[in-house]
Amino acid sequence: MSIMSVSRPDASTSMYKHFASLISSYVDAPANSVGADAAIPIESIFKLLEMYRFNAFKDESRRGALALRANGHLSRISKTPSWHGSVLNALNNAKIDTFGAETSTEDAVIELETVLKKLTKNQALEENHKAHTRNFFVQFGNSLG
Amino acid sequence: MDAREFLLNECANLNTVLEETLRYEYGVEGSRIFFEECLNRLELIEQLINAASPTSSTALSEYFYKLEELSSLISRIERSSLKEYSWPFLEEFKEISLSACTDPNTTQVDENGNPYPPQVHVLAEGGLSSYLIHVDGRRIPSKRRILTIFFPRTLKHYVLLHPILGHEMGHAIFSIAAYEGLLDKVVEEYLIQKSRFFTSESSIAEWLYTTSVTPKSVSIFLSVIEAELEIDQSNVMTDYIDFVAWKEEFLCDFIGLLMFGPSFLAAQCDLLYSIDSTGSEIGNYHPPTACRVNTMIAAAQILGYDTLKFDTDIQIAVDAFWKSILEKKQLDSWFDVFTNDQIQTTLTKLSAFLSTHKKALYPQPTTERIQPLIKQVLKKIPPVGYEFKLKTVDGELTPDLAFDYSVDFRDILFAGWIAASAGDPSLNFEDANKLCEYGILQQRAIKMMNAEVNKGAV
Repeated sequence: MSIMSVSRPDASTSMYKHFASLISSYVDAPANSVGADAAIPIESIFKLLEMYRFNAFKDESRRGALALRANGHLSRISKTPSWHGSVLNALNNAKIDTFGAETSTEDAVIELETVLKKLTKNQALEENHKAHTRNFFVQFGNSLG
Repeated sequence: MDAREFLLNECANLNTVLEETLRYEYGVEGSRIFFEECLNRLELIEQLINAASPTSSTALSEYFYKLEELSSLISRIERSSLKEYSWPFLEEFKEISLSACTDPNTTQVDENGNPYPPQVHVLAEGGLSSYLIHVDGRRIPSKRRILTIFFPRTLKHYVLLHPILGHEMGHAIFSIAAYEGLLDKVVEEYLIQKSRFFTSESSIAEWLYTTSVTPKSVSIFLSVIEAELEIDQSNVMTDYIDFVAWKEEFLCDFIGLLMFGPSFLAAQCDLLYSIDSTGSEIGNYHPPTACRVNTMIAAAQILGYDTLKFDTDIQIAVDAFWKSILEKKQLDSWFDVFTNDQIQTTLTKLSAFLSTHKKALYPQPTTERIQPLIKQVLKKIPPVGYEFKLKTVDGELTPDLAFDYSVDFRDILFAGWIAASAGDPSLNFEDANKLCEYGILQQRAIKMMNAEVNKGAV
């Protein structure tokens, strides 16, 4: 038996809050968005936007096809709350605040993802895209608490 | 040390471990990609910990798990250097899998704008049930995805059983957000919501507990979980079955079958029933084995895999193969949770998805492709698609490698299963596996040689 029982409260909210702050800073200093230091924060936020776009937040690590029992024993399933509740709320708040309720999630995400791709290449951003991106990630970070 | 200092110390330890991984060799692709990726991840996690307040228990707990995940990954990669797995099978498997498990939507692309495929590492693990593909979660801070594939150490050369990894590849594909949404919709719309039993949690519980029709073996299992875990009809769906996981398991079985063809079905029948001999065990995350196997047998029949006709002497082995499969089908219709129409539509939709990915979909087998391979295995010759001939050059006989045709390794596996079913006492299952592994190895060598020849011609 392990020395202590560990739950996995890995909502990743602290990480996303930190990354959101970085992304909003890159918008005004795009030179910082190129290179190894920025690549992971940008790609991680991009993957989060993909989850938001497709409402695909499962992100579970499944056991193998033949691992019918956990550790060979019968057991109840653990009832952990879904990891993404607070993150999804923050994404929704930021989207409505930035793009308005009438803009679809798909349209909002595609615009933000386009900006992220341009940031990795230090390409020029349109002013309205800059404003949207800055506001979205500031609001997202604030909503995460 | 406080918690934050401890984590920073652990970052330094992990950095040392990462450098030590470079003592070993990691196959064709080497160590550069994983080393740089892991180092970038580690530096990023260290930055996150440094930026966190020493009193922020939430953030530090979160970063503890990020560090744990990375530490586990590095250990798996280090162990992959042992290389105790069938590398010819693995190389072929990668060829049919990498396109489908490459995330098309990413900021990380090569100079041509194409997304990088995941980096793959492979290791052997103890236990029959260790077939697994471990995928980086989407919450893992990363640039490139790394997959670690597990084979059972004891089954190193049992390539006929390895098609079960087609199921695991289904999970790897499902882990891509764009595909999760798409595939979930297919399964939900065409399979689950059309099912007589699975339309709601209450209907699933009713299916399990309607004692007048529930098979005795299932009722016995249900009484065991009632006695041991206090699970009954009122709480089975909240406390015992994760039906979201069940749906994913059904989906991955379909993907395994469509990627590998009959060899997936044969491997699944043998492996699942070796672990759950009644086929009636209800898993937290896995539907009963008999429901899965019955569904896959029906799917294979819909795909027409069992209708191929061969020469009379070969047909005997083919008939024996399908008889052995059909013996695994539970005749109680309680286990037939989907109709043929539902299965057919699901196959059509998932085939359309897989056909957009290079080599992912197993081409419909033909007698012309499979029969020569069966004959080779029955003659104890590794099944390959070429003949070694002699030709006359300047009046002298010299070797002539006639590259007649390229063989799909999934055809070799299908042929191997049939030959192993022939009842020839001088060809046991282990021999059939080794012959097929040699066949795949030789085919792989021919492919590499042809690639070199073509490169020279260019």
